[in-house]
Amino acid sequence: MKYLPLILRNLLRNKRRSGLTAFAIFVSTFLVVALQTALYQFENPPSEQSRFRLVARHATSLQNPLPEAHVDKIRNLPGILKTTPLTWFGAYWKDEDNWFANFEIESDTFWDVFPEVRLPEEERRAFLADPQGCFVGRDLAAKFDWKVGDRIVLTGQIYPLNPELNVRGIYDGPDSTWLLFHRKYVEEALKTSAGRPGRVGTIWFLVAGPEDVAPVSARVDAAFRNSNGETKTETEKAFQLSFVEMMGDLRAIVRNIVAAVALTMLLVAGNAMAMAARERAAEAAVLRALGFPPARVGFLFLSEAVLVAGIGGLLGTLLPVLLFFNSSPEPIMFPTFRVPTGIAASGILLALLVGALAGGLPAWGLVRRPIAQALRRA
Amino acid sequence: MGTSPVVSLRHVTKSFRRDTLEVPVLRGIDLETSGGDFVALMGPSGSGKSTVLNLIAGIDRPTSGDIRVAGSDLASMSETDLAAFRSRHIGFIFQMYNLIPVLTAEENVALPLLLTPLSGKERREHVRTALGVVGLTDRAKHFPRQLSGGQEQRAAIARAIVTDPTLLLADEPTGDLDATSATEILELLRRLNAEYGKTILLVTHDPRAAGYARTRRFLDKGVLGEMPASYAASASR
Ligand SMILES: Nc1ncnc2c1ncn2[C@@H]1O[C@H](COP(=O)(O)OP(=O)(O)OP(=O)(O)O)[C@@H](O)[C@H]1O
Ligand SMILES: [Mg+2]
Repeated sequence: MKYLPLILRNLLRNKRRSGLTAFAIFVSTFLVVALQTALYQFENPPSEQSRFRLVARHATSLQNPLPEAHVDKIRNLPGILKTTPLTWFGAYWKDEDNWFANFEIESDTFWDVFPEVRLPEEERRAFLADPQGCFVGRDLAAKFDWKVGDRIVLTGQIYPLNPELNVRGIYDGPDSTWLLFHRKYVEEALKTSAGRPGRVGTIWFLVAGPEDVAPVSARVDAAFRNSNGETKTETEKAFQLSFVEMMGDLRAIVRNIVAAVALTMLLVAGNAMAMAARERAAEAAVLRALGFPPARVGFLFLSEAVLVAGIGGLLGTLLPVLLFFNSSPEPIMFPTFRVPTGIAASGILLALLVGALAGGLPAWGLVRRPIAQALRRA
Repeated sequence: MGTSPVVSLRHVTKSFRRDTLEVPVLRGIDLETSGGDFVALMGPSGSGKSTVLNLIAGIDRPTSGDIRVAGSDLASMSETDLAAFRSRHIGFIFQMYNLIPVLTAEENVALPLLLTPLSGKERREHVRTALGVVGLTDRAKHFPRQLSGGQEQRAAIARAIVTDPTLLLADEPTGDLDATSATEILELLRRLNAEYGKTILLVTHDPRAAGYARTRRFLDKGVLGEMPASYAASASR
């Protein structure tokens, strides 16, 4: 590349202008890449936890259990990704004042639906291996001073069972005040008591996206209408629905910001290159008088713009990549907040495109201008 | 070049359009220059001297007439063809030197060589030779702003001759120089013509400069003629 020295020297000729242009493109590319990555993370959560979680409960009252068979029926309905039952057991520890949330879980499927309940892998394995195992939230463990390996005996208030449990793990999560243990253990122990076996409290399941919430809820409730266990399906939390509605707007907002930023970037770079071209018109004419073909003269000028934009774009893309790459490995909302390759590439491409457009028009002008006329102004 | 002329202009006219008005500048120029000639083109300001030079270099096109330079009919050539033609046959020397300010003297001289298939080493050799001819070897690494006007013009001449072109076109090369520097440049041009056999077309309205040429032509009112006596007197030396 024998022209590189000339291109570089021309770029360094007005360091402040080249620097500011590269900086403007750097900031713009950073914004574009970061915003698009944020949008991408919202729309494509890396784990299922951020998908839309619905809960089916008995149509009459939350206190009424549902037939266990509902779980598999729901699991097989179209539009449903993962399903797990969650049953309120209702027990205290030692003293009735020691009240806390305790649930029976279906251990194989629980984490499909509640991935935000994070239990270290070896503790999870220990829990799964122990039929009388349980695991508790960090806050709850702190409150009662429970440690992994402790044996605790709960007093059941709903069913005639006082579960004897081994603490196998301490979990972290948005709500770490629960105690969770095997549904199998309760089913086994209450095999003979009336009204209990084959019953679950609530059934939780995931759908793919906001647009599935309404139709899938309706489908689930319709499946059990006129059965002995009619269901009422709700979104996990009311605010989630408004969140869902917000998503549509968010996408439009991000797209508009990205477009506005790209346009601004183009105007800033275009203005800088137009100024450079005006200053360089006579020199371009001299090069052409020396025998440089028009395309070469245009290419030299275009290279400057593309180089400045490329440097700005590369840095603007690299920064979010590095920032997000180093973010904590398991935050609750965005477990792996990373810049997807496609978005990183689009950031650099956008910058290069801006450079090509910003440099292209003035370059074309330099090439089109009659040499004799440009030389007269020299 | 043998007997065929290096430059041949036949019935060349050129008019410029100013708003709606056609302003004729050249009204029918015939000019023939053979290899090894050194022609001074004189005439009052605005008579069209630069225009003639531009037409010969193919950086402007005539309104009518034929222009043949170094065997090429310029009328039929595209912009890109003309660029290649200039690269091969024309060395241009400007009044304001027009060196690229961000390049050193030797880098400026090397510019035309970038268009050739020469290797980096060969390019450096050619540059050294050209700088030697113009006597600027010790200023090779200087930037234009570190050179005097005369030195800048010598660098520009080195740039014009480095590809060994068929024809040197110089448009008022001494117009911006003091008398001593001007003499240096004119001596250099004469040496290029006498020692190296370069064909030179020199535009000037300085009779003393024209005196360095072998032939003098006078452009006035759009036509070429002989030197008026007033010019001829001061031009002979
Ligand atoms: N691109 C152009 N558009 C309009 N008019 C032009 C253009 N180029 C040259 N002219 C006109 O043509 C005439 C001849 O110009 P030219 O530059 O050839 O003169 P010159 O003999 O070189 O003058 P000088 O000695 O001042 O350099 C002038 O009147 C000039 O104004
Ligand atoms: Mg002129």
